[in-house]
Amino acid sequence: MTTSARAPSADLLETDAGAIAHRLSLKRKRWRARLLPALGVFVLLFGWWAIVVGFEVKPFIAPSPFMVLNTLYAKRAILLDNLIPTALEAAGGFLLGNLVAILIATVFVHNKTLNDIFFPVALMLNAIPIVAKAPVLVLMMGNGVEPKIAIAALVCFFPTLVNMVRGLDAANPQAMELMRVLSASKTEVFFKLRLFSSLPYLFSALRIAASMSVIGAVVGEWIGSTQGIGALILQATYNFDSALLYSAIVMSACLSGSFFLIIALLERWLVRWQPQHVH
Amino acid sequence: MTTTEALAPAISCRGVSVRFFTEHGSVMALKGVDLDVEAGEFISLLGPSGCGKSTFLRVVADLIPPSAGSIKVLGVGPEAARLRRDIGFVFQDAALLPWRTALENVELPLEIAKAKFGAAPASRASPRELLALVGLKGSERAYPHELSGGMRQRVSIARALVTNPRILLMDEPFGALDEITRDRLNEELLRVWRELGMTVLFVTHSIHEAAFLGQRVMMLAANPGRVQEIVPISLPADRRLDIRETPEFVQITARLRRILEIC
Repeated sequence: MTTSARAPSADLLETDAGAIAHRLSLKRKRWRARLLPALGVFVLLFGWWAIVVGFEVKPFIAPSPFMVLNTLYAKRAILLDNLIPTALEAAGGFLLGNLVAILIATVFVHNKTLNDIFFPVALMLNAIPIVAKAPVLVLMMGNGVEPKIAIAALVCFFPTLVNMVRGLDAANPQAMELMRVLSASKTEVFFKLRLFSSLPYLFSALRIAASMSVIGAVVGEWIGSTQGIGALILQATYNFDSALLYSAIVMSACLSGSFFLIIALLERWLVRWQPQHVH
Repeated sequence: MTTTEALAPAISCRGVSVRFFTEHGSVMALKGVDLDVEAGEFISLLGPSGCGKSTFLRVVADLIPPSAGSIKVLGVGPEAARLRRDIGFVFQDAALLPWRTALENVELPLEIAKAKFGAAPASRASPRELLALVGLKGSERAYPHELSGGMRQRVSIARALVTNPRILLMDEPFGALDEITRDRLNEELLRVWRELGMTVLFVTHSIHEAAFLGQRVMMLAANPGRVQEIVPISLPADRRLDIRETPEFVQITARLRRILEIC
Protein backbone atom coordinates (compact mmCIF):
# COMPACT_ATOMS: atom_id res chain seq x y z
CA MET A 1 0.00 0.00 0.00
CA THR A 2 2.60 2.50 1.10
CA THR A 3 5.04 1.42 -1.55
CA SER A 4 2.49 1.76 -4.36
CA ALA A 5 1.56 5.23 -3.12
CA ARG A 6 5.14 6.30 -2.92
CA ALA A 7 6.36 4.83 -6.15
CA PRO A 8 4.99 7.52 -8.52
CA SER A 9 6.33 10.42 -6.48
CA ALA A 10 9.70 8.70 -6.26
CA ASP A 11 9.60 8.30 -10.03
CA LEU A 12 8.76 11.95 -10.46
CA LEU A 13 11.62 12.96 -8.20
CA GLU A 14 13.95 10.73 -10.11
CA THR A 15 13.06 12.25 -13.52
CA ASP A 16 13.29 15.74 -12.02
CA ALA A 17 16.68 14.89 -10.65
CA GLY A 18 17.61 13.46 -14.05
CA ALA A 19 16.51 16.63 -15.83
CA ILE A 20 18.42 18.84 -13.40
CA ALA A 21 21.54 16.71 -13.75
CA HIS A 22 21.23 16.87 -17.52
CA ARG A 23 20.90 20.66 -17.47
CA LEU A 24 23.88 20.96 -15.15
CA SER A 25 26.03 18.75 -17.34
CA LEU A 26 25.04 20.85 -20.39
CA LYS A 27 26.03 24.00 -18.53
CA ARG A 28 29.31 22.39 -17.49
CA LYS A 29 30.05 21.41 -21.11
CA ARG A 30 29.42 24.96 -22.28
CA TRP A 31 31.79 26.37 -19.68
CA ARG A 32 34.40 23.78 -20.56
CA ALA A 33 34.17 24.82 -24.22
CA ARG A 34 34.89 28.43 -23.23
CA LEU A 35 37.44 27.89 -20.48
CA LEU A 36 39.74 25.32 -22.06
CA PRO A 37 40.78 27.47 -25.08
CA ALA A 38 41.31 30.41 -22.72
CA LEU A 39 43.52 28.14 -20.63
CA GLY A 40 45.54 27.27 -23.75
CA VAL A 41 46.14 30.94 -24.51
CA PHE A 42 47.13 31.55 -20.91
CA VAL A 43 49.63 28.65 -20.96
CA LEU A 44 51.17 30.04 -24.18
CA LEU A 45 51.51 33.55 -22.74
CA PHE A 46 52.90 32.22 -19.48
CA GLY A 47 55.42 30.01 -21.30
CA TRP A 48 56.49 32.96 -23.43
CA TRP A 49 56.91 35.16 -20.33
CA ALA A 50 58.76 32.41 -18.43
CA ILE A 51 61.26 31.88 -21.27
CA VAL A 52 61.93 35.61 -21.77
CA VAL A 53 62.41 36.22 -18.05
CA GLY A 54 64.02 32.88 -17.16
CA PHE A 55 66.67 32.97 -19.89
CA GLU A 56 67.09 36.75 -19.65
CA VAL A 57 66.36 37.19 -23.37
CA LYS A 58 67.48 40.63 -24.59
CA PRO A 59 64.55 42.96 -25.41
CA PHE A 60 65.77 43.43 -29.04
CA ILE A 61 65.55 39.67 -29.64
CA ALA A 62 62.14 39.01 -28.10
CA PRO A 63 59.91 41.11 -25.84
CA SER A 64 57.92 39.83 -22.89
CA PRO A 65 54.12 39.72 -23.23
CA PHE A 66 53.86 42.73 -20.92
CA MET A 67 56.17 44.78 -23.10
CA VAL A 68 54.01 44.00 -26.14
CA LEU A 69 50.87 44.93 -24.22
CA ASN A 70 52.55 48.14 -23.13
CA THR A 71 53.61 48.99 -26.67
CA LEU A 72 50.15 48.20 -28.06
CA TYR A 73 48.82 50.90 -25.77
CA ALA A 74 51.69 53.42 -25.90
CA LYS A 75 52.04 53.34 -29.70
CA ARG A 76 48.34 52.90 -30.49
CA ALA A 77 48.33 56.02 -32.69
CA ILE A 78 51.10 54.84 -35.00
CA LEU A 79 49.73 51.27 -35.02
CA LEU A 80 46.24 52.42 -36.01
CA ASP A 81 47.63 54.84 -38.60
CA ASN A 82 49.37 51.91 -40.25
CA LEU A 83 46.51 49.46 -39.78
CA ILE A 84 44.04 51.54 -41.80
CA PRO A 85 45.91 51.51 -45.15
CA THR A 86 46.54 47.75 -44.80
CA ALA A 87 42.88 47.13 -43.98
CA LEU A 88 41.76 49.19 -47.00
CA GLU A 89 44.19 47.42 -49.33
CA ALA A 90 43.15 43.99 -48.04
CA ALA A 91 39.44 44.82 -48.25
CA GLY A 92 39.84 46.33 -51.73
CA GLY A 93 41.80 43.31 -52.92
CA PHE A 94 39.27 40.96 -51.32
CA LEU A 95 36.35 42.60 -53.13
CA LEU A 96 38.14 42.91 -56.47
CA GLY A 97 39.67 39.42 -56.48
CA ASN A 98 36.48 37.65 -55.44
CA LEU A 99 34.25 39.65 -57.76
CA VAL A 100 36.44 38.87 -60.77
CA ALA A 101 36.68 35.22 -59.70
CA ILE A 102 32.88 34.92 -59.43
CA LEU A 103 32.39 36.56 -62.84
CA ILE A 104 34.97 34.34 -64.53
CA ALA A 105 33.52 31.24 -62.83
CA THR A 106 30.12 32.21 -64.25
CA VAL A 107 31.61 32.46 -67.74
CA PHE A 108 33.49 29.16 -67.33
CA VAL A 109 30.36 27.29 -66.24
CA HIS A 110 28.41 28.51 -69.27
CA ASN A 111 31.20 28.14 -71.81
CA LYS A 112 33.12 24.88 -71.60
CA THR A 113 35.55 25.90 -74.37
CA LEU A 114 36.68 29.07 -72.58
CA ASN A 115 36.99 27.00 -69.41
CA ASP A 116 39.24 24.44 -71.12
CA ILE A 117 41.41 27.18 -72.66
CA PHE A 118 41.90 29.43 -69.67
CA PHE A 119 41.56 27.24 -66.58
CA PRO A 120 45.05 25.75 -67.07
CA VAL A 121 46.41 29.31 -67.45
CA ALA A 122 44.85 30.28 -64.12
CA LEU A 123 46.33 27.14 -62.61
CA MET A 124 49.78 28.06 -63.94
CA LEU A 125 49.64 31.64 -62.63
CA ASN A 126 48.56 30.31 -59.27
CA ALA A 127 51.66 28.10 -59.15
CA ILE A 128 53.91 31.20 -59.00
CA PRO A 129 54.55 32.01 -55.32
CA ILE A 130 52.98 35.28 -54.19
CA VAL A 131 56.36 36.72 -53.08
CA ALA A 132 57.56 36.24 -56.66
CA LYS A 133 54.46 37.82 -58.23
CA ALA A 134 54.59 40.85 -55.92
CA PRO A 135 57.74 42.55 -57.31
CA VAL A 136 56.43 42.14 -60.87
CA LEU A 137 53.26 44.00 -59.95
CA VAL A 138 55.16 46.74 -58.10
CA LEU A 139 57.31 47.32 -61.22
CA MET A 140 54.16 47.64 -63.34
CA MET A 141 52.01 49.66 -60.98
CA GLY A 142 54.45 51.78 -59.00
CA ASN A 143 54.62 52.38 -55.29
CA GLY A 144 51.03 53.38 -54.48
CA VAL A 145 48.15 51.32 -53.14
CA GLU A 146 47.36 49.79 -56.56
CA PRO A 147 49.95 46.97 -56.49
CA LYS A 148 48.98 46.08 -52.90
CA ILE A 149 45.34 45.80 -53.87
CA ALA A 150 46.32 43.81 -56.96
CA ILE A 151 48.42 41.38 -54.90
CA ALA A 152 45.66 40.93 -52.30
CA ALA A 153 43.18 40.40 -55.16
CA LEU A 154 45.43 37.78 -56.80
CA VAL A 155 45.74 35.65 -53.66
CA CYS A 156 41.93 35.75 -53.16
CA PHE A 157 41.19 35.04 -56.80
CA PHE A 158 42.22 31.43 -57.20
CA PRO A 159 40.50 29.63 -54.31
CA THR A 160 37.28 31.47 -55.10
CA LEU A 161 37.47 30.66 -58.82
CA VAL A 162 37.96 26.94 -58.18
CA ASN A 163 35.24 26.68 -55.53
CA MET A 164 32.78 28.84 -57.43
CA VAL A 165 33.09 26.73 -60.60
CA ARG A 166 32.48 23.63 -58.48
CA GLY A 167 29.61 25.29 -56.62
CA LEU A 168 27.81 26.48 -59.74
CA ASP A 169 28.03 22.95 -61.13
CA ALA A 170 26.84 21.40 -57.85
CA ALA A 171 23.14 22.00 -58.48
CA ASN A 172 20.97 18.92 -57.89
CA PRO A 173 20.68 17.17 -61.31
CA GLN A 174 16.94 16.57 -60.81
CA ALA A 175 16.48 20.27 -59.99
CA MET A 176 18.29 21.01 -63.28
CA GLU A 177 15.83 18.69 -65.08
CA LEU A 178 12.98 20.45 -63.31
CA MET A 179 14.17 23.81 -64.64
CA ARG A 180 14.14 22.35 -68.15
CA VAL A 181 10.63 20.94 -67.74
CA LEU A 182 9.60 24.44 -66.63
CA SER A 183 11.29 25.86 -69.77
CA ALA A 184 13.45 28.17 -67.63
CA SER A 185 15.97 30.40 -69.43
CA LYS A 186 19.71 30.17 -68.70
CA THR A 187 19.44 33.37 -66.67
CA GLU A 188 16.63 31.90 -64.56
CA VAL A 189 18.56 28.67 -64.02
CA PHE A 190 21.51 30.77 -62.90
CA PHE A 191 19.72 33.13 -60.52
CA LYS A 192 17.11 30.73 -59.17
CA LEU A 193 19.20 27.56 -58.90
CA ARG A 194 22.94 27.63 -59.60
CA LEU A 195 23.77 30.75 -57.59
CA PHE A 196 22.04 29.47 -54.44
CA SER A 197 23.57 26.00 -54.81
CA SER A 198 27.00 27.61 -55.04
CA LEU A 199 26.72 29.75 -51.88
CA PRO A 200 28.05 27.14 -49.40
CA TYR A 201 31.03 26.54 -51.75
CA LEU A 202 31.55 30.27 -52.24
CA PHE A 203 31.62 30.94 -48.52
CA SER A 204 34.14 28.21 -47.80
CA ALA A 205 36.38 30.00 -50.35
CA LEU A 206 35.64 33.45 -48.92
CA ARG A 207 36.68 32.28 -45.44
CA ILE A 208 40.09 31.33 -46.88
CA ALA A 209 40.25 34.56 -48.89
CA ALA A 210 39.51 36.67 -45.79
CA SER A 211 42.87 35.86 -44.19
CA MET A 212 44.70 35.50 -47.51
CA SER A 213 43.83 39.08 -48.46
CA VAL A 214 45.63 40.41 -45.36
CA ILE A 215 48.69 38.29 -46.20
CA GLY A 216 48.60 39.70 -49.75
CA ALA A 217 48.44 43.31 -48.55
CA VAL A 218 51.27 42.83 -46.04
CA VAL A 219 53.50 41.12 -48.62
CA GLY A 220 52.73 43.97 -51.05
CA GLU A 221 53.85 46.50 -48.44
CA TRP A 222 57.13 44.64 -47.93
CA ILE A 223 58.14 45.22 -51.54
CA GLY A 224 58.06 48.97 -51.28
CA SER A 225 56.00 51.07 -48.95
CA THR A 226 56.39 53.61 -46.18
CA GLN A 227 53.10 52.93 -44.46
CA GLY A 228 50.97 49.96 -43.54
CA ILE A 229 51.43 47.04 -41.17
CA GLY A 230 53.87 45.43 -43.61
CA ALA A 231 56.07 48.52 -43.67
CA LEU A 232 55.88 48.76 -39.89
CA ILE A 233 56.98 45.13 -39.56
CA LEU A 234 60.07 45.80 -41.72
CA GLN A 235 60.95 49.05 -39.90
CA ALA A 236 60.58 47.44 -36.49
CA THR A 237 62.77 44.52 -37.57
CA TYR A 238 65.58 46.78 -38.90
CA ASN A 239 65.43 48.87 -35.70
CA PHE A 240 65.50 45.79 -33.46
CA ASP A 241 62.27 47.12 -31.94
CA SER A 242 60.89 43.68 -31.10
CA ALA A 243 58.00 45.02 -29.02
CA LEU A 244 56.74 47.10 -31.97
CA LEU A 245 57.26 44.13 -34.32
CA TYR A 246 55.16 41.86 -32.13
CA SER A 247 52.52 44.57 -31.75
CA ALA A 248 52.31 44.90 -35.54
CA ILE A 249 51.91 41.13 -35.79
CA VAL A 250 49.09 41.22 -33.23
CA MET A 251 47.38 43.96 -35.25
CA SER A 252 47.57 42.01 -38.52
CA ALA A 253 46.25 38.89 -36.80
CA CYS A 254 43.33 40.91 -35.41
CA LEU A 255 42.68 42.24 -38.91
CA SER A 256 42.45 38.79 -40.53
CA GLY A 257 40.45 37.57 -37.55
CA SER A 258 37.84 40.29 -37.93
CA PHE A 259 37.63 39.75 -41.71
CA PHE A 260 37.02 36.08 -41.04
CA LEU A 261 34.36 36.91 -38.47
CA ILE A 262 32.52 39.25 -40.85
CA ILE A 263 32.43 36.54 -43.52
CA ALA A 264 31.26 33.91 -41.03
CA LEU A 265 28.43 36.19 -39.84
CA LEU A 266 27.46 37.02 -43.42
CA GLU A 267 27.32 33.31 -44.22
CA ARG A 268 25.15 32.55 -41.20
CA TRP A 269 22.80 35.33 -42.26
CA LEU A 270 22.63 34.35 -45.95
CA VAL A 271 22.83 30.53 -45.91
CA ARG A 272 20.02 29.58 -43.58
CA TRP A 273 19.06 26.29 -45.18
CA GLN A 274 20.98 23.13 -44.39
CA PRO A 275 23.45 22.35 -47.13
CA GLN A 276 23.13 18.69 -48.04
CA HIS A 277 26.60 17.63 -49.03
CA VAL A 278 29.23 20.27 -48.54
CA HIS A 279 32.48 19.57 -46.71
CA MET B 1 -8.28 24.41 -78.35
CA THR B 2 -9.06 22.98 -81.80
CA THR B 3 -11.25 19.92 -82.25
CA THR B 4 -8.43 17.77 -83.54
CA GLU B 5 -6.42 18.59 -80.45
CA ALA B 6 -9.32 17.73 -78.17
CA LEU B 7 -9.78 14.39 -79.88
CA ALA B 8 -6.08 13.60 -79.99
CA PRO B 9 -4.89 11.08 -77.42
CA ALA B 10 -2.95 12.55 -74.48
CA ILE B 11 0.17 10.66 -75.47
CA SER B 12 0.77 8.70 -78.64
CA CYS B 13 4.03 6.86 -79.36
CA ARG B 14 5.05 4.90 -82.44
CA GLY B 15 8.26 2.91 -82.43
CA VAL B 16 10.01 5.16 -79.90
CA SER B 17 13.62 4.08 -79.34
CA VAL B 18 16.38 5.65 -77.28
CA ARG B 19 20.04 4.82 -77.69
CA PHE B 20 22.62 6.15 -75.23
CA PHE B 21 26.20 6.55 -76.38
CA THR B 22 28.97 5.86 -73.88
CA GLU B 23 32.75 5.62 -74.11
CA HIS B 24 32.49 1.87 -74.69
CA GLY B 25 29.85 2.00 -77.38
CA SER B 26 26.10 2.41 -77.14
CA VAL B 27 23.25 1.04 -75.07
CA MET B 28 19.72 0.50 -76.32
CA ALA B 29 17.66 1.93 -73.44
CA LEU B 30 14.30 1.71 -75.19
CA LYS B 31 13.30 -0.18 -78.32
CA GLY B 32 10.16 0.27 -80.40
CA VAL B 33 7.71 1.50 -77.79
CA ASP B 34 4.11 1.86 -79.03
CA LEU B 35 1.61 3.39 -76.64
CA ASP B 36 -1.63 5.36 -76.77
CA VAL B 37 -2.82 7.05 -73.62
CA GLU B 38 -6.27 8.59 -73.46
CA ALA B 39 -6.82 11.95 -71.82
CA GLY B 40 -7.44 11.55 -68.10
CA GLU B 41 -6.04 8.03 -67.95
CA PHE B 42 -3.76 6.79 -65.15
CA ILE B 43 -1.01 4.49 -66.46
CA SER B 44 1.50 2.71 -64.24
CA LEU B 45 4.89 1.83 -65.70
CA LEU B 46 6.32 -1.30 -64.09
CA GLY B 47 9.49 -3.22 -64.79
CA PRO B 48 12.89 -4.31 -63.46
CA SER B 49 15.81 -1.88 -63.11
CA GLY B 50 17.24 -0.81 -66.44
CA CYS B 51 14.02 -1.46 -68.38
CA GLY B 52 13.91 2.18 -69.49
CA LYS B 53 10.77 3.27 -67.65
CA SER B 54 12.38 6.47 -66.34
CA THR B 55 13.89 7.04 -69.77
CA PHE B 56 10.44 6.79 -71.35
CA LEU B 57 9.11 9.41 -68.93
CA ARG B 58 11.99 11.71 -69.86
CA VAL B 59 11.26 11.29 -73.56
CA VAL B 60 7.65 12.39 -72.96
CA ALA B 61 8.90 15.38 -70.90
CA ASP B 62 11.36 16.39 -73.66
CA LEU B 63 14.34 15.80 -71.35
CA ILE B 64 15.77 13.10 -73.65
CA PRO B 65 15.27 13.11 -77.44
CA PRO B 66 14.19 9.78 -78.95
CA SER B 67 16.72 8.37 -81.42
CA ALA B 68 13.93 6.85 -83.53
CA GLY B 69 10.16 6.82 -83.74
CA SER B 70 7.57 9.51 -83.25
CA ILE B 71 5.88 10.83 -80.18
CA LYS B 72 2.93 13.20 -79.87
CA VAL B 73 1.89 14.78 -76.60
CA LEU B 74 -1.62 16.29 -76.77
CA GLY B 75 -1.30 16.35 -80.54
CA VAL B 76 2.05 18.17 -80.69
CA GLY B 77 5.72 17.28 -80.20
CA PRO B 78 7.08 16.96 -76.63
CA GLU B 79 8.98 20.25 -76.92
CA ALA B 80 5.87 22.22 -77.90
CA ALA B 81 3.95 20.55 -75.08
CA ARG B 82 6.70 21.47 -72.60
CA LEU B 83 6.75 25.08 -73.79
CA ARG B 84 2.95 25.21 -73.44
CA ARG B 85 3.39 24.03 -69.83
CA ASP B 86 1.24 20.97 -70.42
CA ILE B 87 3.66 18.75 -68.50
CA GLY B 88 4.24 18.45 -64.78
CA PHE B 89 7.08 16.26 -63.48
CA VAL B 90 7.53 14.76 -60.02
CA PHE B 91 11.06 13.50 -59.35
CA GLN B 92 12.24 10.62 -57.24
CA ASP B 93 14.01 12.77 -54.62
CA ALA B 94 11.43 15.61 -54.57
CA ALA B 95 14.15 18.02 -55.86
CA LEU B 96 12.88 20.92 -53.77
CA LEU B 97 15.07 24.01 -53.60
CA PRO B 98 16.30 23.97 -49.98
CA TRP B 99 16.49 27.78 -49.71
CA ARG B 100 12.81 28.19 -50.52
CA THR B 101 9.89 27.53 -48.19
CA ALA B 102 7.23 24.99 -49.18
CA LEU B 103 5.05 27.76 -50.57
CA GLU B 104 7.93 29.42 -52.46
CA ASN B 105 8.82 26.04 -53.98
CA VAL B 106 5.27 25.63 -55.26
CA GLU B 107 5.36 29.18 -56.64
CA LEU B 108 8.57 28.58 -58.65
CA PRO B 109 6.85 27.34 -61.86
CA LEU B 110 4.53 30.36 -61.81
CA GLU B 111 7.48 32.77 -61.45
CA ILE B 112 9.18 31.24 -64.47
CA ALA B 113 5.96 31.19 -66.52
CA LYS B 114 5.25 34.80 -65.59
CA ALA B 115 8.70 35.90 -66.77
CA LYS B 116 8.02 34.24 -70.12
CA PHE B 117 4.40 35.15 -70.82
CA GLY B 118 4.03 38.29 -68.73
CA ALA B 119 1.29 36.62 -66.72
CA ALA B 120 1.02 33.39 -64.82
CA PRO B 121 -1.00 30.71 -66.60
CA ALA B 122 -4.62 30.52 -65.55
CA SER B 123 -4.55 28.09 -62.69
CA ARG B 124 -7.42 26.21 -61.20
CA ALA B 125 -5.91 26.42 -57.75
CA SER B 126 -3.53 28.87 -56.08
CA PRO B 127 -0.26 27.58 -54.56
CA ARG B 128 -1.84 27.81 -51.10
CA GLU B 129 -4.89 25.84 -52.19
CA LEU B 130 -2.68 23.20 -53.81
CA LEU B 131 -0.67 22.79 -50.62
CA ALA B 132 -3.96 22.33 -48.77
CA LEU B 133 -5.06 19.82 -51.43
CA VAL B 134 -1.98 17.67 -50.80
CA GLY B 135 -2.54 17.92 -47.04
CA LEU B 136 0.05 20.54 -46.12
CA LYS B 137 -2.14 23.33 -44.81
CA GLY B 138 -0.14 25.15 -42.13
CA SER B 139 3.30 24.10 -43.46
CA GLU B 140 3.53 26.84 -46.10
CA ARG B 141 6.45 28.57 -44.41
CA ALA B 142 8.43 25.43 -43.54
CA TYR B 143 11.77 24.85 -45.25
CA PRO B 144 12.39 21.46 -46.93
CA HIS B 145 14.83 20.34 -44.21
CA GLU B 146 12.05 20.86 -41.66
CA LEU B 147 9.72 18.48 -43.55
CA SER B 148 9.64 14.68 -43.56
CA GLY B 149 10.32 12.75 -46.77
CA GLY B 150 6.60 12.22 -47.37
CA MET B 151 5.81 15.90 -46.83
CA ARG B 152 8.59 16.93 -49.22
CA GLN B 153 7.11 14.69 -51.89
CA ARG B 154 3.66 16.27 -51.27
CA VAL B 155 5.19 19.72 -51.87
CA SER B 156 6.77 18.42 -55.05
CA ILE B 157 3.37 17.15 -56.27
CA ALA B 158 1.77 20.52 -55.52
CA ARG B 159 4.59 22.20 -57.44
CA ALA B 160 4.04 19.94 -60.46
CA LEU B 161 0.31 20.75 -60.43
CA VAL B 162 0.56 24.51 -60.05
CA THR B 163 0.74 25.32 -63.77
CA ASN B 164 -2.35 23.16 -64.20
CA PRO B 165 -0.67 20.67 -66.56
CA ARG B 166 -2.80 18.21 -68.47
CA ILE B 167 -0.14 15.53 -68.13
CA LEU B 168 1.56 14.56 -64.87
CA LEU B 169 4.71 12.44 -65.08
CA MET B 170 5.85 10.78 -61.86
CA ASP B 171 9.23 9.03 -61.61
CA GLU B 172 9.13 6.66 -58.62
CA PRO B 173 7.97 9.52 -56.39
CA PHE B 174 7.31 7.34 -53.34
CA GLY B 175 10.22 4.91 -53.81
CA ALA B 176 12.24 6.24 -50.89
CA LEU B 177 9.34 6.41 -48.42
CA ASP B 178 8.32 3.93 -45.74
CA GLU B 179 5.37 1.67 -46.52
CA ILE B 180 2.86 3.42 -44.24
CA THR B 181 3.57 6.84 -45.75
CA ARG B 182 3.57 5.35 -49.23
CA ASP B 183 0.13 3.74 -48.75
CA ARG B 184 -1.33 7.01 -47.53
CA LEU B 185 0.18 8.99 -50.40
CA ASN B 186 -1.05 6.42 -52.93
CA GLU B 187 -4.60 6.89 -51.73
CA GLU B 188 -4.29 10.67 -51.71
CA LEU B 189 -2.76 10.72 -55.19
CA LEU B 190 -5.83 8.88 -56.49
CA ARG B 191 -8.05 11.44 -54.76
CA VAL B 192 -6.14 14.36 -56.33
CA TRP B 193 -6.25 12.65 -59.74
CA ARG B 194 -10.03 12.12 -59.53
CA GLU B 195 -10.44 15.74 -58.48
CA LEU B 196 -8.25 17.32 -61.19
CA GLY B 197 -8.62 14.75 -63.95
CA MET B 198 -5.17 15.03 -65.53
CA THR B 199 -3.41 12.21 -67.39
CA VAL B 200 -0.83 10.46 -65.21
CA LEU B 201 2.17 8.30 -66.11
CA PHE B 202 3.50 6.75 -62.90
CA VAL B 203 6.81 4.86 -62.80
CA THR B 204 7.26 2.37 -59.99
CA HIS B 205 8.92 -0.93 -59.24
CA SER B 206 6.29 -1.99 -56.75
CA ILE B 207 3.71 -4.42 -58.13
CA HIS B 208 1.14 -3.39 -55.51
CA GLU B 209 1.58 0.29 -56.20
CA ALA B 210 1.27 -0.23 -59.97
CA ALA B 211 -1.91 -2.29 -59.62
CA PHE B 212 -3.50 -0.08 -56.98
CA LEU B 213 -2.97 3.18 -58.91
CA GLY B 214 -3.15 2.36 -62.60
CA GLN B 215 -6.07 1.85 -64.91
CA ARG B 216 -3.57 0.10 -67.08
CA VAL B 217 -0.09 -1.20 -66.24
CA MET B 218 2.56 -0.94 -68.92
CA MET B 219 5.06 -3.73 -68.21
CA LEU B 220 8.58 -3.19 -69.55
CA ALA B 221 11.36 -5.73 -70.00
CA ALA B 222 15.06 -4.92 -69.83
CA ASN B 223 18.02 -5.31 -72.23
CA PRO B 224 16.88 -3.69 -74.42
CA GLY B 225 14.05 -1.80 -72.71
CA ARG B 226 10.82 -2.72 -74.48
CA VAL B 227 7.10 -3.12 -73.81
CA GLN B 228 6.37 -6.65 -72.60
CA GLU B 229 2.63 -6.30 -72.12
CA ILE B 230 0.00 -3.69 -71.30
CA VAL B 231 -2.32 -5.07 -68.63
CA PRO B 232 -5.73 -3.43 -68.03
CA ILE B 233 -6.68 -3.26 -64.35
CA SER B 234 -10.39 -4.03 -64.03
CA LEU B 235 -10.98 -2.31 -60.71
CA PRO B 236 -13.31 0.64 -60.04
CA ALA B 237 -11.72 4.08 -60.34
CA ASP B 238 -12.76 4.93 -56.80
CA ARG B 239 -10.29 2.74 -54.91
CA ARG B 240 -9.55 2.50 -51.19
CA LEU B 241 -6.52 0.79 -49.70
CA ASP B 242 -8.60 -2.20 -48.53
CA ILE B 243 -9.25 -3.11 -52.17
CA ARG B 244 -5.85 -4.77 -51.98
CA GLU B 245 -7.35 -7.56 -49.86
CA THR B 246 -9.99 -8.50 -52.45
CA PRO B 247 -9.49 -11.67 -54.52
CA GLU B 248 -9.61 -9.60 -57.75
CA PHE B 249 -6.66 -7.49 -56.62
CA VAL B 250 -4.70 -10.54 -55.49
CA GLN B 251 -5.32 -12.16 -58.89
CA ILE B 252 -4.12 -9.05 -60.71
CA THR B 253 -0.91 -8.78 -58.71
CA ALA B 254 -0.27 -12.50 -59.21
CA ARG B 255 -0.62 -12.01 -62.95
CA LEU B 256 1.67 -8.98 -62.94
CA ARG B 257 4.23 -10.96 -60.94
CA ARG B 258 4.14 -13.80 -63.48
CA ILE B 259 4.72 -11.38 -66.34
CA LEU B 260 7.53 -9.66 -64.39
CA GLU B 261 9.31 -13.00 -64.08
CA ILE B 262 9.86 -13.16 -67.86
CA CYS B 263 10.77 -9.43 -68.19
